[in-house]
Amino acid sequence: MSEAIGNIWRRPLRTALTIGGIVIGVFALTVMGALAEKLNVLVDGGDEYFRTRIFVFDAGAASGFQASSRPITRDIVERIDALPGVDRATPVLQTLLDPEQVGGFDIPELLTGIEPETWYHPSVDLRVDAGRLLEPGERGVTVIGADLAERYGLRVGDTFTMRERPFEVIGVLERTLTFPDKIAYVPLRDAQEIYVQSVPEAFEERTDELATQIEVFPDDLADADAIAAAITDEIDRVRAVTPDEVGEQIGQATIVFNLIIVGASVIAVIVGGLSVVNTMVMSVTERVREIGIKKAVGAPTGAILREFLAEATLLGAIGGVIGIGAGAALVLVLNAQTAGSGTTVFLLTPVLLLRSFLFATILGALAGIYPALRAARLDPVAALRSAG
Amino acid sequence: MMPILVARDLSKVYRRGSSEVRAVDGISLDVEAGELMAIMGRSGSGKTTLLDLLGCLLRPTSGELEIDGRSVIGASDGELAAIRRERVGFIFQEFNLIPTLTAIENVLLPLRYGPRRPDGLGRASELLGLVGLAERASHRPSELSGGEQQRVAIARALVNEPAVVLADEPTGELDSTTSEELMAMLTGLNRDRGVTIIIVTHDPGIADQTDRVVRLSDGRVIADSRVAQPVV
Repeated sequence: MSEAIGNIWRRPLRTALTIGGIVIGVFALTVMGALAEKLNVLVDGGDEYFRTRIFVFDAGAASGFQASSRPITRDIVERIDALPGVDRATPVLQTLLDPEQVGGFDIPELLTGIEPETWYHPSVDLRVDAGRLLEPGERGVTVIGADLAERYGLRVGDTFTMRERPFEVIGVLERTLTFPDKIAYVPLRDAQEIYVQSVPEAFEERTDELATQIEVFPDDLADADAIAAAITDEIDRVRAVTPDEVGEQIGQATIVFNLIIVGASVIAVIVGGLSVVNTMVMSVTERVREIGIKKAVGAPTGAILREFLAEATLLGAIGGVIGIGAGAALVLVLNAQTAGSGTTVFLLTPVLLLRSFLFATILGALAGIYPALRAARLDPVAALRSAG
Repeated sequence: MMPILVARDLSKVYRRGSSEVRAVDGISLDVEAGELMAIMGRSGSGKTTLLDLLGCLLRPTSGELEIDGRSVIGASDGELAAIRRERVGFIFQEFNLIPTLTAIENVLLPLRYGPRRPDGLGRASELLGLVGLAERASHRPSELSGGEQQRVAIARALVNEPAVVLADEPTGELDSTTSEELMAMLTGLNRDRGVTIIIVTHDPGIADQTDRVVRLSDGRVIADSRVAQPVV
């Protein structure tokens, strides 16, 4: 090993350039990976949060299950409730906390009106960090997610003005790393009034019948598909989204980012891998005589192979460590800059760091195979008598 | 005395296009343990090829070769490496030390590839002392003179306690004074420690210091003469 260190140090500039190639790749991989990790946590958490129920929308509502453009009347709640296999159905009115703020990269902040008597436990697993959850019959109170509390500097007892209405914060939720962190839960009645205020002309229905969706909790999640089918059969002009479909929709978001990771990996492989191959081939060429000497004194083929593989692996590992360090530093700086707004875009996980390091090391080793084989297969006599 | 090296009808044929070059052409040779032997011949006479064959660096095209009672014919690459590692020591004209390793690390090189020997470092130090370089153990080749480098190479050739030491023009790169010192060292090792040494040379002055001179021409032995050594 010490010889491998000595050997890569023989040509410091070339070694530095080679390592630089790996650093760039691993740097990209770490930063992109941290982006994807964050998104994956959002998505996995979102999956867990949403997958407990069937969402019923107005058939004309925009796709997706947040803040649909058309409301759904609540008179169908009782009809769905009566269907076999349905534990309970509850109206939910979900809208953007601030209509001006359209979600960018992160999930948007949401205002969610619920009926506490039918919506909460055990199916929706929300826990408070401070204060308590909503209770039936309350008005003008809110339970907010951890990101909202942080961003607006809110604690239990504070007043939080949403859509020009004051709400008393009665609870702050535990951090979930996903949707509920950015949701302010309010009594359904309050949400309905806010909703009507913003688009008063849109409905003929009575305000207290408004909802953007009906959330249906089945007795057994396994029956969700059948229940969803029954709902669309039984009730006109609705669309029922099953937990599996919700999962699919959420999952699609990760595909793009996982493709970016794959892209970054491919670039890392090309840039880093080729530079290692090039350097090691040159290194073998320069050290033909030395390989001949080692073979003459009895080094078996495998020993020569291992020596050069060790060097290539070392190049990969050093590049990996530096690339991870640089990537992690950038991620930490960027996260620190956006932390004030309650949003962090990157998430560094030990798994990600380990994966990046292993990627660089294995890349170095793989790139070393061909040069090492060339070295190991040299004819001892030809190698010994070569110039240099 | 039993022969430590037995060659029977040993040949090495190179094909270049349609023509054949018989670099070594049916050489038979017995080398006894403890012999100090010179192989002489003009450039192109096949002496270096013969040395490469005896040292298991090359595979013969035909013939028989036994080293220390072990047949080399049909051995795999790995087995040939093991024979070189355990039974043969090499000294080259250009010293051929590894530039990044210190003197003592160079001496230890052959042991690196064999089974771990607890006494390896002690033995390497002792050999460096024997060639007069105990205080240069941690110097790299670039910090040593030519003569010193060749003495490191001698220590390296002896570290595995070989059956035979093969030296290819060992004084070729040295001035005459250093040359004499080096030959004195080799003859001393032969006389005092019974090391079997085969020296390839074109220098009659070197050959004169050995007990036996084998002359080659066109890949064949044309003379094999033993010099009567004075009995002490």
